[in-house]
Amino acid sequence: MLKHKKGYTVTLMGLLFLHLTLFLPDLCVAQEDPEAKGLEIMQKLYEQISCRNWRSDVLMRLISRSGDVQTRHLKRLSKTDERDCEHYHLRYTSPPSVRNTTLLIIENKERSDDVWMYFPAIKKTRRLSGTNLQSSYMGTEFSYKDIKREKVDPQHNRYVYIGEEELNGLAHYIIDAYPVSKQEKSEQGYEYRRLWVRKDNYLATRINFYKQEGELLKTLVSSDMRPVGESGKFRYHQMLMTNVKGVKTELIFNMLRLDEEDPDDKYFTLNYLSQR
Amino acid sequence: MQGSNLIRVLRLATFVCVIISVTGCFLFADDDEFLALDDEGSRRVELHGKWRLSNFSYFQKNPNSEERNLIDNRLRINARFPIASHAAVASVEGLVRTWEPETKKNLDIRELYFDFRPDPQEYRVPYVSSLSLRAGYQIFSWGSGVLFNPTDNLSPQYSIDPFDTKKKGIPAAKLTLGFGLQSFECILIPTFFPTDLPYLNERFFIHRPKTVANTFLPALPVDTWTVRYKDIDSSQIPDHEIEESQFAFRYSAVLRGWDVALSYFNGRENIAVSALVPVTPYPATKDLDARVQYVHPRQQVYGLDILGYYKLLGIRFEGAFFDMEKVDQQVGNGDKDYVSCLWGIDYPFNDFYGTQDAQIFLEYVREFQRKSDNTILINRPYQNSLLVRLTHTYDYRLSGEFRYVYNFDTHGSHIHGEYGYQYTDYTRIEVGIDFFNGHRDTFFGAYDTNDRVYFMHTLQF
Repeated sequence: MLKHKKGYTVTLMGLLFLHLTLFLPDLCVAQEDPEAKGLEIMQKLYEQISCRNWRSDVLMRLISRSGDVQTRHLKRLSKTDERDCEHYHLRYTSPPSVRNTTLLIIENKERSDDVWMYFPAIKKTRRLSGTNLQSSYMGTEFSYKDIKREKVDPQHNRYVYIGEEELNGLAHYIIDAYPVSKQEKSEQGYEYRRLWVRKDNYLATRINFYKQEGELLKTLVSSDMRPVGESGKFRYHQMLMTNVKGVKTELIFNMLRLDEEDPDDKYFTLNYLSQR
Repeated sequence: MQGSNLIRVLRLATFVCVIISVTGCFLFADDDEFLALDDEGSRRVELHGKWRLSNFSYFQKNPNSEERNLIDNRLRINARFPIASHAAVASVEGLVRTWEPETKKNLDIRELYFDFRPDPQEYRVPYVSSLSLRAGYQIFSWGSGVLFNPTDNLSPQYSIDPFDTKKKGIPAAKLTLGFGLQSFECILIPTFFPTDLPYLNERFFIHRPKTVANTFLPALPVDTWTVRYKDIDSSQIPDHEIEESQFAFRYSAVLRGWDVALSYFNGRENIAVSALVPVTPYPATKDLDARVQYVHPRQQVYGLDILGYYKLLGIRFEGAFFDMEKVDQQVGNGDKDYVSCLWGIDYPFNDFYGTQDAQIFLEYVREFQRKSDNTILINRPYQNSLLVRLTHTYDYRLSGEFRYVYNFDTHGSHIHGEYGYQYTDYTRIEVGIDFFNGHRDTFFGAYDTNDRVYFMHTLQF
């Protein structure tokens, strides 16, 4: 009886061991906080997209629903200061209707960004609201916020790991980014965003933007990933933003350079805006 | 005498600035690294232009003009010659206005200047992060107000149609010192140029006043004269003399997310105030032949300009104190000291009806003056007025704007609406309307017969 009992005990122990061996890893993953994992992935994305400076020519194509295309060219220059605040200088070089219209964004840590736009037709520089960066950038499908890098900060967003999915034959993490407060939601202009982040290099391949009640507003798809010069970093050189109505804006980055000699501070001053 | 010496010194300084600018462009050449992003762009001469054809159709005949259709042809050529990090810029505009059968032509140098931008570190200028010296014909625009700028008094305008004006270039030297997001501008304008106003007996010419009371020659058996305007007397417009130099300073800074600017201008009011001068001694009959004398009083303008945002709400204030020179002519309020203030807010509406954007601007202008009479001053139409501007962007092609001005004192108003469609990268069409309302003796009411619709086609290259 004892032997019998012992045999039972051994069998039960064996089953328990087998069960733990087979399912413990899954239990561990399931118990991992999806927000912690989401944040960890996004922090790796942030490390990947951060750079000391960025220079590029940008070809912008505005594509209507009927397929008509308008082309614009601009120069993009940005610089990250010692406080990890990135400053942006974007100037249109063509077509004539927008030539020399220039945007200057000075990021701040403790308050909203300073944003100015120079309008050559009236020869005036106008301040824009630093909390209105969700509005359309010069009639494109990109908002001012979209043209800046993702600032991964739990004070602004909750990043929730959703799962994994294969996209274009590559494994991706899926992360949902929720603004933490009503004010953040108002400033970002979205209810939430869903990001597809590559597992191999943590670059975002696709971002869906959702309005209230989960209604899809627009989708950003990035492609043409290549190494950038001597920087050792990879970047997507093409981005296509499509809104739900089918209107598209495409950005193609040419002559992209990262982490070269820092550009002069004068490019990030109000004086320089109006000098063209 | 001391003032005259000061002006001589300032004029000499302008001359020296021009010489330094021109020679500096060649002597201190340095590649512009940002421009050099585009391998072809750094030394390429840029040549651009804009041709605009407008057709204004008026609903009514006008006492000044029997014609109802005005065709306006404008061609502007802009050229930019980069010389290392410096540049020479030229912009010339030709205008042909046709009121059948009459045609008027105007050629205007808008900009023609050298921009000399030395590296302050090279010259060991302490604390200065950027330095620029611009000398030649140039245009100035100051102020954060959207529809009106009390602090902006430097550039005269081509204002033959007061509701379709553009600024004119004037010869000047501007030195700008930048300290990060702060800057200090010094401007010297060695001569005076007035704003071009509507010609006598043209559609937008204001006959003021229609009648003159006889309060000073009681011996004459006339209570009031009915005025017949014969011509415009421009003899009071100052000559291009050294004594007519004008100068200005402006300091601007960013304080906790607010743009703040302090400014000072010492010069002449470029939009004339008018005085009535009889052609002959006051007659005993009821009809008085008179000419309009344009007067440009000297003024000192002390300005303050503040703009910031509270979340999405834009808040602005622009105010100026006008210390006016007293003139001998009868110009009503035209030579009295006053304060002009503008308070404004704006608010955006993003992504309504899908992805459309709109923005509303509300501004209120108020003038403060000890004693005022009912003189119509064409340089100050907004003495107690609400200004509204609503912009609408459907997409990158279609956008529109609506403006409304209402003067609480005179109950005069102006409504403007326009929609434009950018149908290619280089071409845009626009349609618009203007409605004027008010009593004939008020600024906007005086234009009551000038309600119009217009069509505009612009080609840019």
